[in-house]
Amino acid sequence: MHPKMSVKLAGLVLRSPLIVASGVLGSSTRLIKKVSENPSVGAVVTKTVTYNPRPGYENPTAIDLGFGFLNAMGLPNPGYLEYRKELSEIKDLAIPLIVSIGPSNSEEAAEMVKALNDVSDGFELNLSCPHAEKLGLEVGSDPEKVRSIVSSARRCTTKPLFVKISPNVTDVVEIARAAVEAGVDAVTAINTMKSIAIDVNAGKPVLSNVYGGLSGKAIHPIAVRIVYELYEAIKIPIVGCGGVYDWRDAVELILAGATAVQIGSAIVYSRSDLNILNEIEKGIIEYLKDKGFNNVMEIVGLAHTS
Amino acid sequence: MFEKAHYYIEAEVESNIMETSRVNTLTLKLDRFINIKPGQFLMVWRPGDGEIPITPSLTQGNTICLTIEKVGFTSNRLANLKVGEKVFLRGPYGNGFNLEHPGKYLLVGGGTGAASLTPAYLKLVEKGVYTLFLVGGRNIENLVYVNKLREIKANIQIATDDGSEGFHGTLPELFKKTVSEDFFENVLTIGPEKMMFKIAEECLKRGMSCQVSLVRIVKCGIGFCGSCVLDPVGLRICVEGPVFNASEILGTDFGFYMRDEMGRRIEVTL
Repeated sequence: MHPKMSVKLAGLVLRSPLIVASGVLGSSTRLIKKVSENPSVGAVVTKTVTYNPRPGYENPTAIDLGFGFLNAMGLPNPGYLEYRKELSEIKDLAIPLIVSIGPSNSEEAAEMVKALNDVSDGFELNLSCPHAEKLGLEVGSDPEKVRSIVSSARRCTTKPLFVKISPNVTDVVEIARAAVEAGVDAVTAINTMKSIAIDVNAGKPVLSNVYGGLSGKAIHPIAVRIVYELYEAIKIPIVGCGGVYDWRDAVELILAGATAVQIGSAIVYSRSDLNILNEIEKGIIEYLKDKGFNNVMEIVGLAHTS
Repeated sequence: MFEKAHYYIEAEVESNIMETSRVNTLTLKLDRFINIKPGQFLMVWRPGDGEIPITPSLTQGNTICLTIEKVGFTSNRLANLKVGEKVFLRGPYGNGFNLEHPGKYLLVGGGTGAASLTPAYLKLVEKGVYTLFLVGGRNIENLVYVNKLREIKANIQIATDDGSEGFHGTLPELFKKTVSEDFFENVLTIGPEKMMFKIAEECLKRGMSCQVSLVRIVKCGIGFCGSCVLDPVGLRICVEGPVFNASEILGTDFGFYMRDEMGRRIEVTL
């Protein structure tokens, strides 16, 4: 652990502000363990589990567009009870394990949080998946539903509670404020952008679900903009997420106001070689050294003039 | 990283041959050349019909063959395509077989595995490596690709469970009976997982190198969704596989468990 990199986030002390984003690698317990052994990783977020088991959508469910991935997996998962069994097999993780849950209402949120509370170090509420019916964005675009789900989860745990919000709304600040008022500890921004890819030879949308979520390089400036907006509007920590490929991308989000940064697509592009996280960490440390900062927390939100 | 000329490779069906009542071989003409190593796979898509991983049974310039067993909706639709119809391919994905190991090779293909192993066979023969190909099926009606292998005068031995063709018994039985302890240095196998498991165990016992090609539910095909992960080692069929050294996967879920579409652990039955 490098002293410059340790951050405090929502009651957690992270050895690094770099977090492995939901849906990447955090799917099998063995992969989670493997990820946690990398010293540059500060925390890991699991793939999203839902109340009921979901098979997800028919293939094609994902495509590499070069500048990012477009996916509509449809949140396939064995359901929270089955996943609880898997998570309980994870022992002695060196870093916090954040469990991503995708409730469709406050009752589901309460039951999932209660059931998973002792196998997690915190929760990230996925209220932003752009391609699942009655879940994710469908509840996450309504401030009242966000308020009711967050309050319900809040009542069931004292562990750090994150809410992952979507860029696919007119006013992200309104959604984030609803979550803050309902007691969330930090906001993760952003989830994927709702998108479509059409194969010109086939003449049809590639994804079986037609609509998918775009991640990767293409959405990075959108993430920076939303983190910047949120930093001006809310008082709780922000976790930046979206197209972080190198240390510059990470620093950009931190300067915009993020206390920590999640990384997803870049790990997939590097064929899951986690060295990319070491490279990003090294770059941030160099940057801090160059600019004369002692710790990464000193640069959070520095891009704001006020 | 930023190249995006096409999403998919377009391919037209040139012929569709019925191998058995459950298996067809499509010959496809691709709109461009792609270099596919023996054992790598393609994701094969028909809009509206879904997309599945298939290891080609022949690759020759812009022409490839796909030998497809009708197991689900997508494979049924693909296996019934007519001449002139289009399919769309992405890939190749996965690692493929390592054919650089010195020594003689024994190939063990069960069911459509015989077809999927054929590119490896041809490559080895081209390199002048001595190769014997064991091909198996439940009975004479269920042997896949044998006509093709006979046409190219491949060095094959056949096993059928009921003895209707060749050796009377399973491929692992044929392997134990006819392959002497120290003749082959390398074994490659594709087929039903229980069969491959027995071959892998026998190879380990004999100290032979054995490469196994695994089948799992592949969704994204690019390594992030976790659908095809082999636990508890966390190896992904679509990135680290589909070919694994037997020594690397014996003692894992190989031969016993896979994951269903929801990611639940279920038993391997075949």
